[in-house]
Amino acid sequence: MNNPKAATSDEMLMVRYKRGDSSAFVALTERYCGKIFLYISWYLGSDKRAFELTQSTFLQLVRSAATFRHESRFLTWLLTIARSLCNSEGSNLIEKATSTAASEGKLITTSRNEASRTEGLGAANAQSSEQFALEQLGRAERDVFLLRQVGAVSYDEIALITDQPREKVSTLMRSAYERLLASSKQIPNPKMSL
Amino acid sequence: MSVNCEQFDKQAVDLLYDELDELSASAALRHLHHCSRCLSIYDKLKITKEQFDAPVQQAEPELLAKVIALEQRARASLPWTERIGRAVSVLAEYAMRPQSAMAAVLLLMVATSFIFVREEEDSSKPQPAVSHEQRSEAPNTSTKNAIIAKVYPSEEMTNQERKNRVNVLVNEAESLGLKQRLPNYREAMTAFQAGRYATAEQLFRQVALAGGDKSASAALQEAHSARNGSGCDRAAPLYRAVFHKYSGSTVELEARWHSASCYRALGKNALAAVQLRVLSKNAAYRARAEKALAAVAAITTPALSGSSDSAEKSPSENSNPKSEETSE
Repeated sequence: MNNPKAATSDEMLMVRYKRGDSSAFVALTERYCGKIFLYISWYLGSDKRAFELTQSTFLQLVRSAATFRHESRFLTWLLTIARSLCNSEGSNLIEKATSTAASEGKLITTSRNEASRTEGLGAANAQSSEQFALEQLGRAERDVFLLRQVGAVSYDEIALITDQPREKVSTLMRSAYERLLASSKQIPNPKMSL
Repeated sequence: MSVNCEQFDKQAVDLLYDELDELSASAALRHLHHCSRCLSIYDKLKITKEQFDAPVQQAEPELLAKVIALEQRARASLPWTERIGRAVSVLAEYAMRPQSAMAAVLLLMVATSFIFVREEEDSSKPQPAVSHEQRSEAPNTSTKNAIIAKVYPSEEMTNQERKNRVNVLVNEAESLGLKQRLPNYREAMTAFQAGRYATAEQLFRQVALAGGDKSASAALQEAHSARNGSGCDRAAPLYRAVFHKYSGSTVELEARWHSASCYRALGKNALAAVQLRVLSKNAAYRARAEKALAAVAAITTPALSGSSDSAEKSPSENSNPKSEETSE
C-alpha cells in the first residue's frame, strides 16, 4: 500500500508549507536534504562546507518560500538556490586563495579547483573516486554535470539556469564525460576501469 | 535516418540522459545494435553514470535536525508583514476552494430567499380562501379551546359550560385592553403615501376586514396599493371584489372606474367596456365613461360588436362560470 505522504508531490508540499504546515517542510527536507548535501559536497569538494551550505540552502528556502511560483520543479528551484550559494562560496574561496597566495609571494591562482585545494577542502588522499573524478572537470562542466546528474534537471532547464544555449549544455556534458572517463584511468577503481 | 560512429559519439551522452528526440534516439539505438565500438563506449558511459547515481542517500540525522531547527527559528523571526501575508494566503486558499464557494452561494441563496419569502408574504402571496368571519374567529376559537382544555380539564363540566365560562374570561381580558391591536386607516394611508405599497395593501386589507365605516374605502385603497405595488394584473380582481362587495356605494363606482382602467391597461378592452357602460349610466361618471368607451371602441370595434369577450378574458376569469357581463 502506498504511503500517501510519499505520494504527495513536492509542489503540493510547498503549497502546504506556504500555508504554514511545518510537517510539509520536514517532508521536503527528508526528501532532498541528502541530495542537496551531495550536490554541494561534489560542487565544492568539501563535506564540511556542504554541511553548512545545505543548512543555508534550506534557510533560504524558508525565506523565499513566498516567491516560489510553481513555474519550475521544486527540486530545480532548490538546486538553483544551492548553486547560487556554491558560486558565492567558490568566489570567496578564490578570493581567499588569491590573497593567501599573494601574501606568500606565489603566483595568483584563479581556478576554483586550485582554490579548493589551497583551502584544503579535498585532500587527494581523502577523496572518493567520484570526488577525484569531479576535480578533473572545469567549472562549467561540473556545473552542468551536477545539475543533470544529481538534480535530474533537464538540458532545457539547465540552459535556463546557467543562461546558455541547450547545445552548449549538451557539449559541456559530453566534455565532462570525456574527462570523467579519462580520470577513471588515473585511479584504480573497479567500477570505472575501462 | 542513420547514424555513423562520429555522430553517435556526439549523441551518446544525450542518449544516456534521455535528452534525444524520439527519432534521433531510435536511430542511435539502431546504430548500437551493429557497432561494437560504439556499444563499448556507451557501456563505459553507463558505468560512469551509475557510479554517480549510487551515492545519493538519506542525509545524516544531525543535518536533518539542524535544518528543521533552523526552519523553526527562521519562521519565528519572520517579519510581521510576511506572517500576515502567509495568513492571508492561507485564508485565500480556503476561500478559493469549491466547497467554500458552494457554501457561500448556498448561504446567499438561503438569505435572499428568506428576504423574498418575507416580501412575498407581505405583498403578493395568494391568500387562502378564508372569509372575514373565519379569519377573525379562527384564532379566537383555538385560543378558547386551548384555555378550555387547560383551565377546565375536568370531565365534569359539559363542553358548552366550559365554552361559556371561557367566553366570559376572554371578554374580561379584552375589556382590560388585551384585545389584539388592529391597524387604523391612517396608519395604512401613511404607508401608502410613503410608497410602501406592500405594507399599505396588507394594512388596508386588515382595516377592510375589520369592518366599520372605513372598510369600503380601505378595500378600495387596498386595490390601489396592489395596483401601485404589483400592477393591474393583481389589482383588477381586487377592484372587482370591491365593487361587488360594496355595491350601491360611491366606492362601487370608483372601483368600477379603476377596474376599467386596469382592464384597458391589460388589453382586456371588452371587460373594460362592460364597466364603462355601467358607469356611463351614472351622471357623475357619464362624460368620462363615454369618452373612454369611444376610445375603447376605436381600438376594438370588431371585438365589442362580436363575441370575442371570452377570448380576451384571462384563464381565471374564463374559469368563472359566472361571466362578467352576467354578473352585472
